[in-house]
Formats: sequence, structure tokens, C-alpha cells
Amino acid sequence: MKLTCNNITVDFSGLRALNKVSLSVETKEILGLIGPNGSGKTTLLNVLGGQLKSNEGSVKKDNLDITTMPPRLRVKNGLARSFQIVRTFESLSVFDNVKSASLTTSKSNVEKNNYCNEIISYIGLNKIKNELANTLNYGDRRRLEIARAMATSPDFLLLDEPAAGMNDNESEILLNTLNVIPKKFNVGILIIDHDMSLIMKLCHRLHVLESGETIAEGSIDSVKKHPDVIKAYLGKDF
Amino acid sequence: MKDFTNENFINILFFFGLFLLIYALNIFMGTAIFERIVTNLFIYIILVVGLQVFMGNSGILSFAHIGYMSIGAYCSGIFSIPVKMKSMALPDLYYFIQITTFDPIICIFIGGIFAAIVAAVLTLPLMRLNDAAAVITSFAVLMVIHSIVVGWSAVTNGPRTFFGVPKATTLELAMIFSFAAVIIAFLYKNSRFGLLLRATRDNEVAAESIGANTVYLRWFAVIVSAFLAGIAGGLWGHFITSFSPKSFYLRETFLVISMIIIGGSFTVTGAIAGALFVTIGYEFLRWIEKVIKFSDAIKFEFIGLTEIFLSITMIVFLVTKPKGLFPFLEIGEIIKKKFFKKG
Ligand SMILES: Nc1ncnc2c1ncn2[C@@H]1O[C@H](COP(=O)(O)OP(=O)(O)O)[C@@H](O)[C@H]1O
Ligand SMILES: [Mg+2]
Repeated sequence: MKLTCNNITVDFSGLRALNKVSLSVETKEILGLIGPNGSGKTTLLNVLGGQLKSNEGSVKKDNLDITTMPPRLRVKNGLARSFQIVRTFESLSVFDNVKSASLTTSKSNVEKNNYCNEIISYIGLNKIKNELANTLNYGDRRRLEIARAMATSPDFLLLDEPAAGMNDNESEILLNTLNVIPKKFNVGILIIDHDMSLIMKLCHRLHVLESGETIAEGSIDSVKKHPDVIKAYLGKDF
Repeated sequence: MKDFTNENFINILFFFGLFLLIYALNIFMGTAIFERIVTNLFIYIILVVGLQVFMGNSGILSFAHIGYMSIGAYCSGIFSIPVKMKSMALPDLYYFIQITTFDPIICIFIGGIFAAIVAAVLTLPLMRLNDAAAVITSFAVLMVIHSIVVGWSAVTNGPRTFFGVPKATTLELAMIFSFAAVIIAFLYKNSRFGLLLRATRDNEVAAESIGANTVYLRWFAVIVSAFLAGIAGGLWGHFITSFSPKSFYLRETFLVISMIIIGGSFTVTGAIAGALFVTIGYEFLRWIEKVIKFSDAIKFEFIGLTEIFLSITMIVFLVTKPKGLFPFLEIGEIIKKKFFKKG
């Protein structure tokens, strides 16, 4: 399966946040979306998830055009996401957060419960699964968002800075978790993050944005050597 | 393993026990006044628990609830007043209703269904709204219903007293309906509709991203909520037997809202606790008012004490315990956490 966007352009009252950006992710693949702050990464993810309408361009899953499809229907077509600013369901327990996301799948209730428990254990939230989300620390909330997204049984997982605010140890654990997801659950991942060591170890391919434009894409090695990327990240450890 | 049905079971069992206890207390007290208070309490529990179904799960404050109650009360009354009485009580009533009468119990259900239908039609376009806009439009819904009840004289006797409703509501009947309402509220809360609606309450954008259809989830909750309000209205009508549009307006709206805020709108337990708390407080203050009056300690009339108390209590709660007595956990979950922790 393949998630594609073509020539996406987004204008925010005068500001062009994205200019003719195209990319695609395939199942079992991990694509890293990187770029300086304000380069349009979250905006692109919002267009893919349906939270934002692009001014131009199209989004497709395989041959299905989902450009105008609202988010709740995109989930049914296999798109799930996490948010840069955490959006867990604060007054629900960890289990209910995950369970709520499994409700629109076609599994039976018993299957849903088993699947949710499997994901909760897999993401490492088993010990706190009966706690309310508003009692969780920041790192656990970020992981809960991933578990919740996984509970929708997605084909594609869109992650917006999942390692933000995590310490080295936590992001190491996250790396190991994410690493296995594509093959184990048959999922393609699009991940945004500023933690370059995580991105380099995790991703199969990179896509680099700067000021709403694609400046490089391809294998990690080719992107690293790209002169525009070196310029964009000048002075940074890359 | 978390088992939804199991959790519902503990909650429902607890309130079954509590209701029986209240019932036993009534037999023990054996006075008509006490029986009246307890019957009212059970009717109010249906109202508040009904309000919890929408307000608690969606997180949107609704002022329209008492409007749905009035629809239930009038509707149930209109269909149940004996034919002979009808020509006197409602001389201008349409012919086909004039000549028919149903059993009050059936009429209570008709009232609930009619309230649900009215809510469904009136509120669908409003379900997109959030925050202040949603609250204000719910208030507008209350005013619309009130105006129709006042204006539609042929059916409601207008602003005048609507009388002749057969007395049918006993303490037992109110208790049975109340218990059924509690079961419905728990089942609803833990159903897929309830859980997804609670997800939209906590974060609408995230909830839509996992497949929730906010508009329809809210709409469905309003319909169930209005059905319960209509049932409560019918029961109340058959208890009090005569009422007027004034009986279903701001004072009553304020009363149910203070109940749910004090108890905690997120939980069914909170809704019931709020109804209990306010009822007990209310009766206690009425008793004090009476004592003061008869003791001649104070020479001027002492009215409005209860309203002042209710307002202050609600303010105190909003400031110190904004999510009420039972903010997140149901009684069943609290019991489970306390006693079965190491199990
Ligand atoms: N809702 C919005 N309204 C106006 N401008 C926005 C909005 N969202 C993002 N922007 C602007 O669009 C640009 C890209 O933002 P964003 O996609 O969040 O960047 P990134 O995620 O790469 O840091 C920024 O200049 C930002 O200020
Ligand atoms: Mg961003």
C-alpha cells in the first residue's frame, strides 16, 4: 500500500506554508520528515491527516483520492496520527484512551479488548493502564498517543515529534519500539522529529523541507551530503 | 483485564442497594411528607441522570433539559386525562385527542418519546457548536419550548394551570423508573457511543482523528437525555396532578444544574450524589425556615433562604471542587480501587 500526496500548497493568509510538496510512504517503510522549525512539517501532516485543507494538490491512498475526506473517514481508510501538542483524552484511563480508538474498527468486542491490551503492553504502558491520562508524565502521554493511533489498526502511522521532551533513555526505548512496528503490524510510518540521532537510526528514507519547499529527498546518505541540507542545518550537528 | 460489564454491575448493584435503603427508611419514617420528599428525589434523580447522559459525556452545559421535562409532563397529561374531564380542562383540544385516553404508564412513555423526538428535531443543527455558543443556544431551546407551551393554549391551557392529570405516580413507581434510568445512564456511558463521546469531550480534534463523529454522537446523547427528561416530566405530572408552564422554567433549570455541578457531571454517581445532596440540603433549610418562622425570633418574612444557600453552595463548589463530588471515578471504580487493589 502507498500513501501519496501531490503538489500540496497551503497558504495561511499571505504566508505560503507549503509550496508544491509531494511525497509518498509505503507500507513497512519509515520515512523521516525533517526541516528547521516553521518549515511546514506539521502543516503537511495536517493535510495528510485531514485536519487541514490544502489550497492545491491531492492526497491519495493507493488509487483512492482522499483529498476532501474528513479525518474520521480517513481513519477507516487506514490513516492514524499523533499530535505535536499532546492530545490525549485526559479524563479517560489509559485503557479507555486506547479502547476508544479501536471502536470504529470492524473487530468483535473481545478481539478489540485483546488487541488493545496487546498494544498497551507492546508500547510499555501495561503497569499504568488503569490510571487516568491526566496523571501521566509527558513521555507516557506521548507513548499513549502512539498506542491510541495503533489501536485504529492503521496502514499508515503519522507521528509528529513523538520524542519531543523525552530524555535519551526514553527516546532509545521509543526507537526500539518504533523500529519493529512496520514489520510486526504491517504499517508505514511517517515521522517528524528534531532528534537527529533517532531519525538517522530509525528512518529508511528522508524528506527535507525548508520554508515550505522540498529541498532534498532520498536515502539518508544522499540527503546528508546534499549541499542545501548542509546549508539549512548550518552550524548544527547533523 | 478490564471488563466493562463487570464495572457496570458493581455500580448498578450499589445504587440498587442505596435505593432499597432509602425505601426502607421511608417505611421506617412512615409520614406522608417524607414519602413526598423521597418520591420527588427519585424523579429528580431521573432528571439529573438524564442530564448527565448528554452533559456529562459531551462536556456541554445544557439549559434545555427542563424544557424536555415539560414536554413529557404535558404530553403524558394530555393523553391520560379522562375523557369527561378533558372537555372541562381543555375545551379547545383537537377532537382526536379529546376522545381518547390511555393508561398513565403508557402516557409516561409517550411523553418520553415525544420529548426525544422534539429534541432530535430542534437540536441537530446545533450539535456542531461548542462552548459559549452551545450553552446559549441550549438556553434558546428552553425559551422556545417554554413559549410554545405558553402559547399553544388549545393543548396546554396556556399560561393557566393545567389540571385534571390522574394521580398515578407512587413512590414505588418513581423508584423503579429511577433505577431504570440509572442503568441506562451507566450502560450508555460505557457503550461505544458513550466512550467516543467522552473522547470528543476531552479533545475533539483527537477524537475525530480516531473516527468519532462528534455531531452524531452528541445528537444521539441529546435524544436519550431528552427521553429520560420526558419520562421524569410524565412521572412528576402524575404525581403533582396540576401544573403550569412556570413549573418548568428557570428555577427548576437552576436546580438540576446545581445538582449536577455539585455532584460532578462526568460521573453518573456524581449526578445521583448531587440530587441527594441538594434534596437533603433543601429540606433541611426549609425546616430551619419553618423553625425560625414559628419561633418568632425574627419578625420579618424569611423567604429565599434555600435559593441563597443553593447559589452559594454551587459557587463554593465551582471554586473549590469544579468537577464536583465525584469528578472522574464512579462509585464502583472507587470501591474496586479501595478493596480489590491487591487482588
Ligand atoms: N494555523 C496557522 N495559521 C497561520 N500560520 C500558521 C498556522 N499553522 C502554521 N502556520 C505557519 O506555517 C509555517 C509552518 O508551520 P509548521 O507546519 O507548524 O512548521 P513545523 O512543524 O515544520 O515547525 C510557520 O511559519 C507557521 O507559523
Ligand atoms: Mg511542527
